[in-house]
Amino acid sequence: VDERARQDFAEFVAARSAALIRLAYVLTCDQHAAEDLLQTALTKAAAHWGRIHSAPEAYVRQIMYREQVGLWRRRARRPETAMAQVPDLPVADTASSLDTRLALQEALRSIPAGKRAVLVLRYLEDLPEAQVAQILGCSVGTVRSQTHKAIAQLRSVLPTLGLSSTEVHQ
Amino acid sequence: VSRSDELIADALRGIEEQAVVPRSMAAGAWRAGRRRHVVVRATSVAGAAVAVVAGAVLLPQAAASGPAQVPSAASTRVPIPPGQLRSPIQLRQVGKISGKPCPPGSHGLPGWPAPGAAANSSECFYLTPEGMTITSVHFITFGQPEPGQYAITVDLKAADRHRFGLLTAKLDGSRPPHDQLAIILRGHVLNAPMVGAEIIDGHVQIDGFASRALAEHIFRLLRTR
Repeated sequence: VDERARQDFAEFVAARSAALIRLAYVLTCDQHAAEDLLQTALTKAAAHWGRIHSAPEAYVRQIMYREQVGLWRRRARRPETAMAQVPDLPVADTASSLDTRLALQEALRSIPAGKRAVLVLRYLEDLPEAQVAQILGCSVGTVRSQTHKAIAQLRSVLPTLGLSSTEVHQ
Repeated sequence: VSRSDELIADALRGIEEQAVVPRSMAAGAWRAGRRRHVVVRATSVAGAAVAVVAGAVLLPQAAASGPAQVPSAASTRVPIPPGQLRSPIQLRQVGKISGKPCPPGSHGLPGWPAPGAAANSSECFYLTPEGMTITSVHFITFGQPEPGQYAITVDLKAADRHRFGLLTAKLDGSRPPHDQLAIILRGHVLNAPMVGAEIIDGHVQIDGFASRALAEHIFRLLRTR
């Protein structure tokens, strides 16, 4: 029985690794951290394989989201580090859509992982707030406020994007 | 969908495209996951295995000392009279696990001593108040579910079964390490399995022992008075 389960697991990982590492990467913005995050999620999935083998991908994705938000929460409890100068942030150069895209990518990389996770769920996976809250294990109000703060942070970096807080709740 | 939504989604797609697909992680994840899986298990009323599973605290070898009362059969049911557990089993929710020995005066509990080591473990478990103490059971079974694996199954009494169900339900789905249940024997954490399901039937199987000697040693600590 265990050998059959092991084979099922190996087939799942082989088939879905590419998609899963992309999610891990966009959550962490770092290749090594992405691999660590995916490995952690797959290890947990293996531990619960008997229970989740019929729909493992949603389980693995949820673990990655929650792990990432948990990491962000733990880091958030640490005192902030005083810096002599404000760290450089990319400034929008809207001369072309490519510039805007690259500047926005840099801005997304610079925001906290928890806020980025919310944006991934809301904009990349295009999920409603209630489902985002369910996946992250938080309230809809938290999703809303984190989205709002993330958008505000992006807007401060890229004012010409024309993002408004009202768009967040559409 | 507004233009700003599209811009953000497009930028996020641009980031995820930069990921490099790693070599297969399946084998390592499976080994690590299953190592955690097998240490504590419950059997459902219907007899099917219910996953519940285990933070892999390495279990040491222990000398097989004391009266030899371990059954030689692969799986033998040994009734223990009510109130006759030699060593009560404490179950407590894990709050934090430190990779360092417990400092003097700390309220943490050490892990089971490593093979051949002095009393101190290299890990220290800080526990929450959530938990229960088992002093009597219906049965304890010593068995060998698979070649090379040894298991002690504890059949809880009705009152403890209910409390254990509530406790495991609370831990299931909690954020790590709060989803781990420390099994404490004589002031040491024998293991700290991660609870992956509510256990309602009161059959708790502890396995994953490094050797038969250790499984027998623990069995004697539990059953012999």
